[in-house]
Amino acid sequence: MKKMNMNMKMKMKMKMKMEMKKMKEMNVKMKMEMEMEHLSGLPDELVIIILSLLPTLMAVRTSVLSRRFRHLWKASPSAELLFSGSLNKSTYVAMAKSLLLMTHLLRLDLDFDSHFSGDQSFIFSLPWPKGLRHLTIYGRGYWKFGSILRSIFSSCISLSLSSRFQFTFHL
Amino acid sequence: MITLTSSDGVQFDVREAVAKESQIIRDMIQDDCVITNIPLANVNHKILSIVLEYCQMHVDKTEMEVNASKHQTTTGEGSSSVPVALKVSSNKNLNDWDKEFINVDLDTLYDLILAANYLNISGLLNLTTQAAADIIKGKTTEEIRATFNIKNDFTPEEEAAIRKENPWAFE
Repeated sequence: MKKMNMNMKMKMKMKMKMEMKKMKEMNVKMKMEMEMEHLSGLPDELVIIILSLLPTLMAVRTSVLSRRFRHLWKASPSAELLFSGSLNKSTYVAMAKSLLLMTHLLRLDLDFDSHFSGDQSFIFSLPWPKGLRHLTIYGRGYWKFGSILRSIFSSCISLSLSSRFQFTFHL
Repeated sequence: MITLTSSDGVQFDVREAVAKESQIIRDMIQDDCVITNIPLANVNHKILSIVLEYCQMHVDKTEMEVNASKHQTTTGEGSSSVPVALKVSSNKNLNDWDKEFINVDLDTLYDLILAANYLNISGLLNLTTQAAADIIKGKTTEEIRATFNIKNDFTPEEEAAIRKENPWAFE
């Protein structure tokens, strides 16, 4: 009788040990899953802040990271398109159009200067967002369009048009 | 003195000025001036001690500057060069200190971003989100996924389609 009891106790102990081990394993697994979170565990508003601190091209690239990141970059309040390299005009216009679809855009810096001369009136046909507050355009001869631009961008509190000189309007 | 209690029950006694670096605590103290013990349900003691180290440092530096400028106004023009130099060097030191301070592992950075947001400490939120952006900068899509454990839940076809939307960003 006593022996049986001992056996039972041993078995119980073994069982408990197994359970403890299982729980420990589960804890480790849970901890690993929690560590997996990182950036993905942040709420959207904080991820958007981080994305808005990236150069715009880099932010656009985050759209392929995962479904969650698909559209997050578009919520960034600022963008800049600093034009350099061997892009042609139609590519640049396509880039500008994509950025203007950013729904919460408040500040936009566009640099048209280094690449194309000639007809630049395409900028009037771009889908400018209504809420834009700060716009800076670096380009040749934009000061000539000052009054037209001012009427288009009536929401802007600051509109800078730069060529060799800086023209700033406060509206 | 004000007592801040972390989510895991550890108490921190800090000067009111240090606690007030947090906008949410500043609001609490203003609303109810007899408040002396504030429980912080979303910050554990490990992260809270790091946050308070940041607040302490920034309060000390600000007070040092105020004292320096007071010294400058009371001692007149003759000796004004010394406090200015002191101010410049303390600003520089603070930037260096911030840089050193934010050199932490990703888990801690992630927790600090959440804590800075919850406690509404704008300087710390700027510092931590900028650090996260700096980690992303210059990395390829695959590297970003690996660094932050982001699971690619797109099919290859879907990912290719998104790249096509803004091909200029991926060239």
